[in-house]
Amino acid sequence: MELHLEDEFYFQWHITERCNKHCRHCYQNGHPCSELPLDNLETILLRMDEALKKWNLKGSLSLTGGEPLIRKDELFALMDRINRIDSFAYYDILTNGSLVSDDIAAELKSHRKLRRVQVSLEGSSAATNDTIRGEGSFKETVTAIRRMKKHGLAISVMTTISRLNYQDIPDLFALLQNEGVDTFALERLIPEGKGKGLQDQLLSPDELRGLYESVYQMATRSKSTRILLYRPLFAQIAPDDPTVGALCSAGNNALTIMPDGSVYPCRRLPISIGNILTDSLFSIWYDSEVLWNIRNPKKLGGKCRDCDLLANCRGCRAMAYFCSGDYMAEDPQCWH
Amino acid sequence: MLALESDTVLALEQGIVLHSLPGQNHFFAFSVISGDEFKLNQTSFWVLETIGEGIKWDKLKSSFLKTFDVAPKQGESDLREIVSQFYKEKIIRRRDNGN
Repeated sequence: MELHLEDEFYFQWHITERCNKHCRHCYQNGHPCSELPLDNLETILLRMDEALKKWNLKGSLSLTGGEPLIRKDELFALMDRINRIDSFAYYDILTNGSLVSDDIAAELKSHRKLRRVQVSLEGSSAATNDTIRGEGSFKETVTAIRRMKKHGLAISVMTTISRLNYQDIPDLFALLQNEGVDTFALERLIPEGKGKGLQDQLLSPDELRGLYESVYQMATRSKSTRILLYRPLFAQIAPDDPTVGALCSAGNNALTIMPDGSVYPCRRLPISIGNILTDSLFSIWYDSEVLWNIRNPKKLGGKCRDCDLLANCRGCRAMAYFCSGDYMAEDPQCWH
Repeated sequence: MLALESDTVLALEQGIVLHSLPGQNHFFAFSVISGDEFKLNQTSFWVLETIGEGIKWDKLKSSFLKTFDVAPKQGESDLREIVSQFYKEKIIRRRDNGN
């Protein structure tokens, strides 16, 4: 099931920061973050449900971490609850795949509102992928993809783009097509958390433009794996194609919930705008100064402010924040 | 029905917040308690901003007539209608006895 953006509100929910991997580009900073017990997680679900009903919107969720399967008992309990709440249309699980056994794949498949399982690959070979995600990770992830496909799960692969892997994207896409992967998403490396050390691996605007042009060509030719193109800056590649580019959902129709209940506009923009257990979602959504700044194009800086593509693109606020310290500054990777 | 005397004090209801994106001509009132959302025009938004934490009806009326280019009788009638609607929608309340 796919929802139209205007019908949907999206929650990215990190139920843990714990992870069994140590990827070089991760947006986590490695500091421990307290976790909520299951009864608090269920309270959060009820608060989301209350807001969705009030807004007359359908909810979608990404349940993630850290590695969410480290808390598999709580994760499966939450999935059971979500299945019974009408206001949630579907959810995805974002995992590194390393803990997905046959039993877990079967358990995932038994949850009817699970739309896709997303894993991450950074390249078409162990040489590229494991440099970023750690030795053995490529083989583990491809094994997890095959295992989950065998159980009939829809699979999405996400790649974080940097100079470490951007030239390998065509080969990676060919691999994903061969493996029967359903969707492919690309996100830009943000120099935050552990990824701060990779600042010099950010693509230049021209490099990014070249990559996005080739990705668009791949997307239009592909008959199997679908490439998700609704990301800021993509709008410049094919301004007349409605499937390409989109306003960032931060401040628009999405929130990120952290393991301790803190709420961020986006996981990549870690500015706390409240806590879902102590502040109402209505209060956070309607009264956060950060969200109102993000919603207001007049507050954008640099070339973003007067851009002729504002209706479809306002850049990535997290990229602006971590490159300049100002989340309303221009997107430094924009070539427009 | 809201009876408006010259010393009637009006205030925003508890939990009502106001936000606008003037460049896009978007004006809103929200209840952070109930989640209700009200889309407004610029004039209605000005009225709510002016009411804020409390203002006497007489003062609100004179500010309105000074701000908007409208005949006094018509202006008062328009303002009464706007304020009554806000009261009915529970966006504003009467603030009596200093409450």
